[in-house]
Amino acid sequence: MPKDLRTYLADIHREVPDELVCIEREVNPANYDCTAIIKHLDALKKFPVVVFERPLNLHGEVSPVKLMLNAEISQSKAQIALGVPRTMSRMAMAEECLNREKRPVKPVVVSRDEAPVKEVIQTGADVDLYHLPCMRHHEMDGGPYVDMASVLVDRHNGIYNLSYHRMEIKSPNLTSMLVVPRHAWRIFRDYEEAGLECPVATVLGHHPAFNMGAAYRGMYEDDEYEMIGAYLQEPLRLVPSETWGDRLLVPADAEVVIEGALLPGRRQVDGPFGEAPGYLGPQRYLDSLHYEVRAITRRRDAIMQTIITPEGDKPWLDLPREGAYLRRAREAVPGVTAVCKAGRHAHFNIFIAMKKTSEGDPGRAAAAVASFDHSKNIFVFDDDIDVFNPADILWALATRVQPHADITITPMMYKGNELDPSLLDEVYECKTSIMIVDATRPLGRPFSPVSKCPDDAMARVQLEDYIPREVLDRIPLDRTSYWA
Amino acid sequence: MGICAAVECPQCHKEFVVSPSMLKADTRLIVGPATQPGRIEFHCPWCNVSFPQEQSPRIRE
Repeated sequence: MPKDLRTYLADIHREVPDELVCIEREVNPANYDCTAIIKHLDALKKFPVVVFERPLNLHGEVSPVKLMLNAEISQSKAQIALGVPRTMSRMAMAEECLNREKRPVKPVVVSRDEAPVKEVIQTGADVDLYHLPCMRHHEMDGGPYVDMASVLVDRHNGIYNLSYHRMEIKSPNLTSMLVVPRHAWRIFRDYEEAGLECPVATVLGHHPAFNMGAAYRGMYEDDEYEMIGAYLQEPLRLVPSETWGDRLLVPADAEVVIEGALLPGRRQVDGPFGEAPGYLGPQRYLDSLHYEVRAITRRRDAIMQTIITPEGDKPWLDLPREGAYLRRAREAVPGVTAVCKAGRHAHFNIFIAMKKTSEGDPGRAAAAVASFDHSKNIFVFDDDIDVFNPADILWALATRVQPHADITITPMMYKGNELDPSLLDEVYECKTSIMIVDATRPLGRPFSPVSKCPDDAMARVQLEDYIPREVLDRIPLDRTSYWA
Repeated sequence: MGICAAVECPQCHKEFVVSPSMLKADTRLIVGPATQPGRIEFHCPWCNVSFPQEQSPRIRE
C-alpha cells in the first residue's frame, strides 16, 4: 500500500494513540476557532495531531472535507513519519535526511483510475475554493489562506520544484501566491518573460514525509519529486493533472490538489500573514502572483492539511534544513558534529557543535552556513554542548566567551531573509549583517574542566540499588525551574 | 525603514502592516507584459475594503 496521510494516521493510532485527537464539534476555521485550539494546546506543551471532523467552509456550511493540523509537529511524530526508531536523536535524524537525499527515488506515473485524488473532480464553473474549510490563521491576516506545498515544473528541463508559499484566497477561483526569489521564482519568471502561463498545483494533504521532502533545500537541478521519493523510501505515485495533463504531474495519493495557472504580468495584493518567525509578514504586491484556480480534485472523504506557526518546534520543516546546514558545514570543517536550526529560537540563529582541531575551524564553519539567507547569528560550540538544549547553549555562552575576542560582527553585506522583522531596509537593499560567536574552548592553553561525577562512579552506582523503582516513579518531574 | 510600514484604513481607521515596496509604487514595476496598468491599492484586513494610498489618513514608515 503506498504511503499517504491515511497510512500515517494508522501509524500514529498504533504507536501513539493518545496523540491523535478528533474533534467532532463544529468549528469555524475562518473565525480563528482552530487557531485558538492549537494555541491553547501549545500553551500546555501538548502537540497532538488534531482532526476537525466538522469544519465550516467559507460558505458557512459544514464542509465534506475534514481539516487536520499538527501532523508533523514534534520530534516523535517526525520519527514516525520517517519510519525511524523513536530513540533516534535529533542530529541522527538530520543525518538520516541527508543520507536519503543522496539516494533519490524516481516517481511512477499511474492512471486516473488508480489515483485516489481523482475521486472528486471539479473544473470550470464547478471550481469553488469556498467549499474547502480554509482557515484564517492569525489576527490581521489579509484573509483565509492555504499554505501547503506548491508544485512548479521548469519548462526547459522538466525538473519539478516544490516549495511552501502563502496563498490568500481572493475569490472562489483565485488566490495570490507569494514567491521569494529562489527556485519557484526562477521557474515562474522564465514563463512570464516568454509571455506564458505557468502551470502550478498545490497539495493540501499527503504523508508527512511528502511534506518534509517538499521542504528540501538543495540544488535547482535536483528533481524534488525524486527527493520526496527518497524521504518516503518508495517511488512517489503521480498522475496527470486535469488542467495541464502530462505537462504537470500531481501526487496521486494526495488528499486535495488545487490546480491552476500563474498568469504573466498579473499580481495580487497579499497579506499581511503570520509567518514562520512568529511575526506578521506585511502586505505585499510585486512578488505576489496571480493564481487562477482551474481545477480542484480530491478524495471523496478528503482530509485537508494546513500549517500554523507553532509555539515550539516544527521538525518537518527544520530537519531538511538542518541536513542542508550540516552538509555545508562539514564540507568546510569535517569535525562538525551537529547543527541546530530548530524551533522558534533558531529561526535566524544557527548553533553548531564541533570537535575543533584548529582555532580557525569555528570561523570556517560559520562562513559555510552563512551562505544561507536564514543565517544571521551563528554560534559555534565544542561537541560537549548539546546545541538542541537552550540551557546548555546559554551556559556555554556565559562561561566560554570573551566578547572583545570571540564575537565578530560583519558589515551589512549579506542578503537578508525577507521575513526578518529586524531588517533595516527591505525595499532597496534587503541586506543584513552577521554575528559569529566563537564559544569554543581555546586549544593552546589549559581551560578549567567541567565539574562532574567520575564516569566509573556513575556506572558503578545504580539508582535503583538505593531508591526502589516504585518510589522513583512516584517522584514528579519538576518543571518549576525553567533552566533545569 | 524596516520591512514594514503601517497604513491606516480610511474606513475603519485600524492600522495594518505593508511592505514599503508598495508605497508610491505602480504596476509598471512588473517586468513583462503588464495587463493591469495603474496604481496598487491596499487591502484592509480588518474591514475588507481596498483603497489607493492617497486615501489613507496616516502612513507610518
